[in-house]
Amino acid sequence: MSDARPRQWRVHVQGWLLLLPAAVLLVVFTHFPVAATLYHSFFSNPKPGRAAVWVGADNYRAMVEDPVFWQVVGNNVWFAAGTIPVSMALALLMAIWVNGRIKGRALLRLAFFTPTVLPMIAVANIWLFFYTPGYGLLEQLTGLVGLPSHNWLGSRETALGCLVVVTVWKEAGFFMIFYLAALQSLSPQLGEAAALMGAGPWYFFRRVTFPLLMPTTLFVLVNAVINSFRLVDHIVVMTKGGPDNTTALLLYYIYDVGFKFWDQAYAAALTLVLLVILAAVALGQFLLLDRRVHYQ
Amino acid sequence: MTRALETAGAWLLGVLWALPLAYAVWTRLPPGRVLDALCPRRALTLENFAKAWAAAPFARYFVNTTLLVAMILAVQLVLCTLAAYAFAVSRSRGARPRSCWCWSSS
Repeated sequence: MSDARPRQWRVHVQGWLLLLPAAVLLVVFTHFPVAATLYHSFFSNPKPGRAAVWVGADNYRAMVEDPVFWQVVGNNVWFAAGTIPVSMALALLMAIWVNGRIKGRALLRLAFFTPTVLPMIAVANIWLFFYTPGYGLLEQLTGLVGLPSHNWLGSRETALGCLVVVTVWKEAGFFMIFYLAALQSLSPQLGEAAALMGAGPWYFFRRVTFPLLMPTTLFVLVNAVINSFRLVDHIVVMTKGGPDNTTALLLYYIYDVGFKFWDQAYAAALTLVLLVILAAVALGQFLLLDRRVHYQ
Repeated sequence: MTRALETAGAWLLGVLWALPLAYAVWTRLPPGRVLDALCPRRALTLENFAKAWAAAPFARYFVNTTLLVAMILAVQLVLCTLAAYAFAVSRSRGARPRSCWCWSSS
């Protein structure tokens, strides 16, 4: 009895010492900046000769009345709705294909994975060339069919859709890797048993494979949501948020406000909103969905 | 029948996914101006790649990248192994919230 307590205490100290190096980096470069952002979002924007003063919730009030902010939030929701389901479904389809016995499996894996390896900026430049009005690849194809010329990235109706296509293309192969790893860890006996019982492939997928893949699906979903809210590279290269803010996503808008308009106080408030969204998504998915997910 | 259909679908998607990169390489092969890329029948040359290679000290960039990645990986492996071991061994009630908290930064 008198012995147990010191030993337990020593285990705790050891545990915290093991965590210490990672924790220090996290606190200095992640948690302290978050706290500082929260603090600065309650002050006015400092200017030369005029220090920041406490303004309370004024930055947030301005945000609620800022039509561009709401447009950007709407854009981001549409962007997420357009990219996440499609890229996840394609990833699962790709994984099932290249997991089975298909002709040229290695080559297909390579093809699907190629976009992931390429740097974002290079990818954006390639697609920029596709969408170029006049002589881009897309224009040449539509020109062959006899369709009129269209400025894909330059018109309000199609610009965001073009970005969605690029993102789906970029991310599907990356998510495929996770699904492929999960599929390969499934026991082949399951398939044999199902075949003995006379289950069709679709039934087997719906009742056996897909439920067993749920942990992977959750992981991919969390990553997909987070990615869709922090995408910025493509926009910088391809549209710069235009035309008329139709392709400005949250993170890009924060960059604009903070480092082009130099309204750092408002940018801090916007950053906090983004952080709250991301934290809510992650927490909600872990706490709510976790219970319905089948872990081994 | 379904098998052939599936193979065809997989290959269609594969070609679609590889097309942008293939096209990018293709447009860098012609000897002339950018617009020449539109003409499929032209002399192929590697001259553009040679020019690009000579345009910047890529050997230096390569060394920089390797050094950067090696250092990041070394530090990450040490830090992550320590923290992960602590979480894996710990049976205390706070372990799960704490691991979520670490996860939050990724």
